Amino acid sequence: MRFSFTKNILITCFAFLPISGFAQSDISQMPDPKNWDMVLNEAKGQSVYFNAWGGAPNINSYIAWVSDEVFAQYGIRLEHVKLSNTADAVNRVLAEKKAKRNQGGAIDLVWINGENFASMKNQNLLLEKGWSYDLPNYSLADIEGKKVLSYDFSEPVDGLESPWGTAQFSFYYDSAELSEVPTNLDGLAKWIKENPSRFTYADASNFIGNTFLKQLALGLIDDKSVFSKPVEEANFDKLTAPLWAWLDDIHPYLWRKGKIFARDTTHLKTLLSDNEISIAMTFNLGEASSAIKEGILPKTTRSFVLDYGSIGNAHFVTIPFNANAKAGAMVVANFMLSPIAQAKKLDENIWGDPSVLAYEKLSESDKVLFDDLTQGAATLGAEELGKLINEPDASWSEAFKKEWLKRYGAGG
Amino acid sequence: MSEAGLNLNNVRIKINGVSLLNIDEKIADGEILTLMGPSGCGKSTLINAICGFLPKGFSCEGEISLDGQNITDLPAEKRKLGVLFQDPLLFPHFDVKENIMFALPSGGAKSERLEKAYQLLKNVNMQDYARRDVATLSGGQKARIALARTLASNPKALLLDEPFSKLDEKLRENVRQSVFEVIRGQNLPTLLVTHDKADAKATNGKIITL
Amino acid sequence: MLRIAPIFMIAILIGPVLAGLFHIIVPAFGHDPELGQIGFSLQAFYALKMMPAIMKSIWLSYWLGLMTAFISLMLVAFFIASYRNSYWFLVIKTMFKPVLAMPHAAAAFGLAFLIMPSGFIIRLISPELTGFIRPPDWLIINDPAGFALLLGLVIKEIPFLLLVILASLPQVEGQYSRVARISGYGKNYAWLISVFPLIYKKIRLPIYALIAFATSVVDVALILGPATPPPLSIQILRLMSDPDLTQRSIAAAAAIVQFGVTILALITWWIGEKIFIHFGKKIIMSGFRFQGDKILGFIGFVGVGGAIFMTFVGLFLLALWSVSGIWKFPQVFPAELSFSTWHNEASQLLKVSWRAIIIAFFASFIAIILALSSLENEYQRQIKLSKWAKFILFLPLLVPQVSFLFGLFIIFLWHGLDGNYFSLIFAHLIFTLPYVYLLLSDSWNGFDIRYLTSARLMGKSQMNVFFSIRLPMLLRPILMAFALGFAISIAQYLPTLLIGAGRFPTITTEAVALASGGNRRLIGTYSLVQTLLPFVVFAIAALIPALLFHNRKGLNNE
Repeated sequence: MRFSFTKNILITCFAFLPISGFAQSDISQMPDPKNWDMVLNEAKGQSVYFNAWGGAPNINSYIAWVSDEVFAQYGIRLEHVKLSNTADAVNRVLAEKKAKRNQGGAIDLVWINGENFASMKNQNLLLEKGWSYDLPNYSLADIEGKKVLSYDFSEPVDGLESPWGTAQFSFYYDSAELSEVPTNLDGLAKWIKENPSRFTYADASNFIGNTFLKQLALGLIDDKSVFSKPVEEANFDKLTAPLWAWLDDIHPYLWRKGKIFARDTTHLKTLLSDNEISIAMTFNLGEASSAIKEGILPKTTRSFVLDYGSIGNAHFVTIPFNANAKAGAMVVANFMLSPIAQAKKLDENIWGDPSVLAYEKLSESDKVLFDDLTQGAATLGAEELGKLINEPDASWSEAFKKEWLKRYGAGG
Repeated sequence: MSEAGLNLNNVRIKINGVSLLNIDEKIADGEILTLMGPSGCGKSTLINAICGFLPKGFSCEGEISLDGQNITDLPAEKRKLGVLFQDPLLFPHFDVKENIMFALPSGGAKSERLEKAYQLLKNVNMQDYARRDVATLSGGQKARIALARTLASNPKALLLDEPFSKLDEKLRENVRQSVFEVIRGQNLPTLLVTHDKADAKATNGKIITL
Repeated sequence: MLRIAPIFMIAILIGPVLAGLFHIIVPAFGHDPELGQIGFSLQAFYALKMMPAIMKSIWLSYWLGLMTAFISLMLVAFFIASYRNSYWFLVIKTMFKPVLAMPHAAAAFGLAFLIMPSGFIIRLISPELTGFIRPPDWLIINDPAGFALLLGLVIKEIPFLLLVILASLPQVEGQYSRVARISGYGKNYAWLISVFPLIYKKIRLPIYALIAFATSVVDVALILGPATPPPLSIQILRLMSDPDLTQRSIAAAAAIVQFGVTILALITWWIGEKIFIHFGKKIIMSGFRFQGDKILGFIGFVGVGGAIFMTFVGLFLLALWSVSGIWKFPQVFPAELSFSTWHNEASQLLKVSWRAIIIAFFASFIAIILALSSLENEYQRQIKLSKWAKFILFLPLLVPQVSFLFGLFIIFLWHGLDGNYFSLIFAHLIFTLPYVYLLLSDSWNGFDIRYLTSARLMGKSQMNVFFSIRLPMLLRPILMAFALGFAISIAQYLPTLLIGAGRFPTITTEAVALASGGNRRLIGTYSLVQTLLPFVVFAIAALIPALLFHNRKGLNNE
């Protein structure tokens, strides 16, 4: 009796063992976005694995909305693979290339920019030239007005990635706690020293920390053009000496006396919300307003920028060379560029990430989508945003990171 | 050839080649042979050898036969032996009657088996306890159930390995009497291994001291 | 079937480790054709040596591994020595299993919510006692010396040690301590010098596994550990996920160094053992009578009780954060409760939990089948496992995950084996099998085989006896081992991420991905679910035998 019982359990269990083999697709030609109807046809029924940082619930729910829409409109199943670090996706594609998996790769679409893009481009890990410029909605993008859509950290985009959003460096604070904020670097340094342990930035291996270093370096030098060349061609020590002097100056007055640093933007937001620090920084102009709506930050939160301009960049989506669902990935990228998707993204109730589209290129009905949106009090208006400074060449990120780690990476 | 009883024909037990115990005895039906000796002299090992459970390092030479059949190389379950250990070893996940029914030879209708089980319990005066959880029984009751269970498997010989040594003194005498009474009624060749003289005396049989 | 079980088991345990290590060693020594590097070179190791503060990272890993093992072992030994016959022992015995079931990451988050400057403890006493209206600028978690990480590890290893010691206790506890007590020793001290050495012999391998784990831990270190510089394991992850692909050979070299650090820590511990035994014997032989029984008891009680208490409070804080609205410092409790996180995440939680359950169920179930078959094979053939065999069993636990998983991942990729349930379950099996086997073999060896021999003599075959006597009688420990395997599988982060190709997000990979955003409400929600899954399985494992054997007293006292 007992024997047969156990045997039955065994049989039942094995019968239910889910079998999900790895679907190797046929050797497919690269879909041509110039022939969009064929792309749409091919995309139907495909599963698109979108590898994107998964640390922010509001962004995750926006992606979930995108996935509902592309399923309803194009019959594409979009799966958000939540990464804790985008470089994991880069590594994965490289590993697949090493394993000679030239089709049927695990990643179809990646949220990317900067050094990750440069790295994939230089290692030939991306789909062949030119696809993104031919996406139908690309014609609506503000290519003329936003140089960052064509140069990703000085690296020419070359049609290898499709724009998704833009970002600009800014600070935010609780105006109920802080009546006046410094708007230049001298003022910031003075404020930090007068208010010990109320300021910190992120570790330079994180993008926001790295961007802060670039923002400082660009503010402490007159000729900003030197940074647009690869770091190998510049005199790194001489150009960055003012930056390290500035950081050394404030170091003892930082949060936790500079022994540890914040991990990322969300950590900075949490520290501000816990009232551990008074000023936080972000790359997402809508972040503070979104956080107010989420109930994480007080309603009195406001933003500001430094007077000499702020670093800005764009973020993109790209398709690896061996993607399994290339057509599906293109359709998703195109949908992300659509006015409805961009307007939804700009909505601070959803995400608050700026649009990459040119308002004047939109149809009247699409303009309404944007007209209806209101900005939260913590979001800077167009006239308050100040000058946009381009990112240094992608090679600077690594150089800044290495030098910073050498100086501050040993815990003081 | 077709001798009845348990025949230990020049059985020699060795540990790592060193001789531990030699025995050459015949136990006839209804006879109880007692083997006495201090602990460590190999009494229990002999029981193991007869059952076919020699631990590693031990070896057994000679021939063991039961009712004329050579059982020396048979697997334990085919030897048709009944054994009582120091502990009653009642299966804790079965109730009393299930313990008995487990030991009954397979086959037969369920009602028939149940009937048999009650008969065996009655034999040891425990028929009222058929549905009891074995953990709730007293030591003496457990010993009697263990005996009934041993008999349920229809053994052709009985081996008793210090079956009363863990019972307390007052109980021991009582249980001893009733157990031997039942055993005598079975008319089986029986080998008792003990260090308790009272056990040996109660058998009224041959005693070998090692 | 039984005969091949041990071969199967050994193949599962050794194969992946060796193959994985091989594929790390090759690029570490400079052979990486895809990156245009051919042949042998030590360049990666030189580059590693030049990394800022790398020696400090190495030292951290080494130090943490040894200290975690030493402190948690000491506390558990003192506690059991002093309280093994008391009411408190029963309390701890029932309380530690849920703590054991809690995934490391969840426990670490709970601890962080408790002790950080804006955490629960300081909120409790602020501003009344402290005057703080803002969180103090104290370096409590992520401290450069790694004390917070050490605390987190000790708290999590204490229940593990309780488990392995309790499993081996019945086998060795006998008259030993009574003998020693007669001669005028305090009862706790007597137990420590007479029974504990015997226990230690039995739990040596699990302790080595603990040291290996603590020297290379990833998830807890990310949450509580120092960042500038981090322990070596985190440094490896960072290098592995550096966009600059040339860093990968350095990462491989670092993975080899990590393996070396773990071995070095194990050797240190082993030497320590010898020294301890040498001087310990001298002290015992001198007849020294230690009179600090009460101190031993106090230390053990505060350590073990405190660890379990803190974990429970941490669990409560996770739950609280998951439903908190605005919760400003220094409010002790959130000003408003909000179920929006649960509401928004519900469908996602269900999806990723279900996936984790499937994987954990099979990874644990197959481990049970293999372990049972091997143990039954050992019994039927009267084989005793050699020291070597036991060592092999522990190999996947002694070699740091970061050192071989990347290599294993490459192999899976090569053969197109990544990204399906079979491979994922297999990857988890590597880690569930050793623990399941360890736990089961203790109950197996403690089983009175005369039950089996008497059943055999009743004319029942080996198989029949196995299924009708041994299995039901050992049902409770078998289910416990299943629950432990399940809990271990649920907690696996790296294998799930790598072998799952990112296409099989489970509750654990989601929890870590979300944690990278630092949103406490999400951390609370996901960590809580992550804890509840094994928790429920432990509860079911305890409930099934209780229901099946509710009127079988002989099986109900653990």
